Parts: sequence; structure tokens; C-alpha cells
Amino acid sequence: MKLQKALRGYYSEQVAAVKLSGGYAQPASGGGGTGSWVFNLAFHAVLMVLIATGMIYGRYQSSLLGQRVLVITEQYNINERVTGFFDDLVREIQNNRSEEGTL
Amino acid sequence: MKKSYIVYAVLTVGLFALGVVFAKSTIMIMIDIPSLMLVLAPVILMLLSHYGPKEFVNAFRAAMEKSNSNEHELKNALVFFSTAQKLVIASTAATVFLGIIMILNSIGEGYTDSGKTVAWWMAVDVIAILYAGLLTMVITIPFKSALQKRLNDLKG
Repeated sequence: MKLQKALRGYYSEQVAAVKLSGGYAQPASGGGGTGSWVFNLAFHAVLMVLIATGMIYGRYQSSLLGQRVLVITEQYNINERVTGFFDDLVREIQNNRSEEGTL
Repeated sequence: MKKSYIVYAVLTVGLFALGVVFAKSTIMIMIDIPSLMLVLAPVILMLLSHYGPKEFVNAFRAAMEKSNSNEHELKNALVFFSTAQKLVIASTAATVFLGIIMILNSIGEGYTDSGKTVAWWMAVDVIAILYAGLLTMVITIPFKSALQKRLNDLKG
């Protein structure tokens, strides 16, 4: 009799520990599950707002490193030097080809 | 994962910050919001494609020493952090190569404001790699290791 009662208690605990969700057993509380829709909605809303704010902020406010790199590119005219380098390279290849070279 | 994780994580990041201070620079040089967005947002969005927000919280909780997570939850949390680590690497690679493409695109003749574009993307590229390194070192690797350790302890 005592064993039967103990077993009944054990099985009721086991049954109470899980709930069925879409035909699959899920823990009744804590641990698993994907959470309430309010929490999910709030999480997605906050995430979207943060991403949008971050991208808009970055579009209009350059970072400190970006500002420093801009000073370097303008000070040393890196942009035109690189463009000039490519122009020279193309010219050199064209000259080489016209002279039937290997490039 | 012990409670002292936070202390060690702060000390680790602080060590890098100290390097910046020793170089007589400013911590602000390490801050770039678009880099953070381009590295972190794709990771979170792609994880959301197969994990719910509550599962995010549960994955962090499972790694804690005093949590009562079972083997199944620990394995799921381990997969979560392994995926996050791979996604961090992938999103950083995408960001860096996008930056290189944008820089190459802007250094042609007739492109207005190319200096600004070069500077903006160069900063994004460099800081994105820094953030990826920090995220991997401070979050994904320690949590993966803690979860694996807990799984090993469960198996005895």
C-alpha cells in the first residue's frame, strides 16, 4: 500500500514536470521553451531599435579612428597617390603590350 | 562558469584598455558603433532564426556553476555558443571584405568624397576585427569551455 502511494506520488511528479507543446514534451517551468510572446516582442523591438540607431548614428557621426584616418589620407594625399599608382600601372601595362611585352 | 567570471572578463578587457592608455591614446579610439553593429547584429539575427530570446538567456544561465540544467540543456547551450563563435568569425570576414571592396571602389577618378569613404571603412575594418577578437575571447570561448566542463562533470 505504501509502495503504491509512493509510486503514485512519483508518477504524478513526473507528469507535472512536463507539458505537451505541439506534440512534444517540454519542461513545465524554467529551462526550456522559447518564452512568452511579450518578452519575444520586446526583445525584437529593442534589438531593431538598437541596430537602426547604431547605423544612423554611424552614418552621421564618424568614429575617432575614422577622423584620424581621414586626416592621414588628406594630409598625405593617399587617395590621389593610390589612384596615380593604378593609373601608372595601367599605363605601364598598355605600353608593355604595345611593345609586345609579357604583361 | 564561476561568479568571478565577470571580474576576470573586466580584467582582461581592462588589460587592453591599459595598453591604449600606456600608448598615450584615448579609449574612444576603440569605439565604433557601425563596426559593433556589423559584427554583432548579424550574429544575433542569425541566432534568432533558430533560438528564442529566452533560449539566449538559458544558454548563458546553463554555463553558470550553480545552475541545475540537465545534459540536454547543456548540450543545446554548447551548440548555441559554438554557432555564435562561427557567426562572429563569418560576420567579421563579411564586414572586412565589404570594407575592402568599398575602399577599392572609392579610389577611382570621379568619385566624390572618396577620402571620407576610405577613412570610414578603414576604421570599420580595423575595429571590427578588434571587436571580433574581444567577443570571442571574453564570451564565446569561456562559455563554451564552461559548458563542456559541466558536461564532462555530468558524465563523471
